[in-house]
Amino acid sequence: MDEVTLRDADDQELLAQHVGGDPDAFGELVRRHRDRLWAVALRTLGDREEAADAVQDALVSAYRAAHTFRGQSAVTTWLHRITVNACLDRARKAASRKTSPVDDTDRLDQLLEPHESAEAPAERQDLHRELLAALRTLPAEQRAALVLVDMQGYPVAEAARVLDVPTGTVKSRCARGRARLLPLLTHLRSGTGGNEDLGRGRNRRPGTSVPPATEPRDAGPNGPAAVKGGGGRA
Amino acid sequence: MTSTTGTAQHPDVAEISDLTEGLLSPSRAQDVRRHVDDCELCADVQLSLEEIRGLLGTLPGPQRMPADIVGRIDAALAAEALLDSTAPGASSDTAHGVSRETAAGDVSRETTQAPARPAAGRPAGRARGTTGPGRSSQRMPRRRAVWSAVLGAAALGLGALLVQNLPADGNDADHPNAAKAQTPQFAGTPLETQVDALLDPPKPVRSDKNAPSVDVQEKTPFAVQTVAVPACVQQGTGRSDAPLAAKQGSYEGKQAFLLLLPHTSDPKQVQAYVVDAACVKTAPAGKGELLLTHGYPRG
Repeated sequence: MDEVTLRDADDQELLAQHVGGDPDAFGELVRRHRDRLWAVALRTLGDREEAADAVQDALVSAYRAAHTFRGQSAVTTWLHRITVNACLDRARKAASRKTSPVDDTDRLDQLLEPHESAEAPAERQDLHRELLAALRTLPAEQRAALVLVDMQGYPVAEAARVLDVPTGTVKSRCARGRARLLPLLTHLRSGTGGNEDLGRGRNRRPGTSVPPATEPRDAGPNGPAAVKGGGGRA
Repeated sequence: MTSTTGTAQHPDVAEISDLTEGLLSPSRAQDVRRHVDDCELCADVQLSLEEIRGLLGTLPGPQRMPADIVGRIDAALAAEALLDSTAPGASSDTAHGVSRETAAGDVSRETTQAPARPAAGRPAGRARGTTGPGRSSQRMPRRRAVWSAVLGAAALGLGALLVQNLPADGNDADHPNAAKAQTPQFAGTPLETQVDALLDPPKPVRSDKNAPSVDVQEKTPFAVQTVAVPACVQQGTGRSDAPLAAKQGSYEGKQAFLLLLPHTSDPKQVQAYVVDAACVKTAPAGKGELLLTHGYPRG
């Protein structure tokens, strides 16, 4: 199989060629999809090394399991599914141990590279960091749904196929995830001087600057109330 | 988390979020919508939720997989290819490599599709999850993890090479072609152990806590022997320094040597070379054909 033929082949053909023994077919598949898989993994795990491990595990697994691909979904969906599952496994493991806070800012910055240029307003950069830090406090399933749908822009139906859950579940995970992120935004908005407050935020350990929001009922409506100084419960 | 609040009270933030996604029952949706329409506070919550959604969508993020990670994954897949070519049909026996990397052992747990098979196909006696080789410690240094991951995969290929020139009974080691050497009893051998041993032979007893744990089921750890490397094979690497270790086996059906040499520029890596052994007979003074070369991080 020469390179031109490989480039012309669709994903499913490439996978079939790989199963048939073509040594280059899987590599072409990887070239086609690795950037998207990488983005999903990095954002789901929030850690470069963990994400690299997850994508590697997933691709090696896919390489070995290619002969079992049934064609019931697109190859890209299948690759995403294996990758997201590898990420969720790792996220659950990571949740059971507490990461060192020392490198958190660096790690968050890694996630914003390379497009968070120095010219971006500091306020906005801080907002992005806070958002990423808050994302990491979410349950992995909610995070994965938000990464796929809100961040990467996959249609809900595709995210549902990747996560192997009904579309309603994807919507629910997204909705609950956003609800849990709300206290973050409230916190940022409530800063009176803007920069001053955000500056403080930067020096805090990101993970702790956001309320865990296990009780959205309390955290939500009270935040805006603080801003507006009114509108208590009826 | 369905709300128990009445229409007179503010709905949950989660409920307002659910409303946006169309997840509420029609009657509840009507109630919540009516409330939000009349309540500045809850309207603001709804707006904020939309804002979060928009922020997530505009967050800067990775466009490309970084080159170093591309290289790492290519190396891991090349190791898989090496395995495929040396041990056809062994894929189910080697699947534990994946599971070892994902402590839950089941990359596709939520799917009914076949990728779940590798974990299920784990050979009997292989430890599951976090007790797997090289994964016993969560605090395992990063480089160690890479070593286990990438070279672990490489080791699978190496194992296939080893299997072919180390007969089961321990005698007869001079006959690298012995077909019986591919008997499945070698398939489950902890290959990381072999590679570690290959790179670090003078350490009969493991004291390094970070080293991959030796599978308790393992009864016959390979006595690692470094074979003499014919001149033409050494030539094939394009290097004159002595290999750290060498093995004879086959690659893509050809007799070949696997040589591990220090990496030329990175002391943290080793460079693996697979050189066609045909030159030993055809052109002993010549240069053996280099079939594959890859760098792997060393622990």
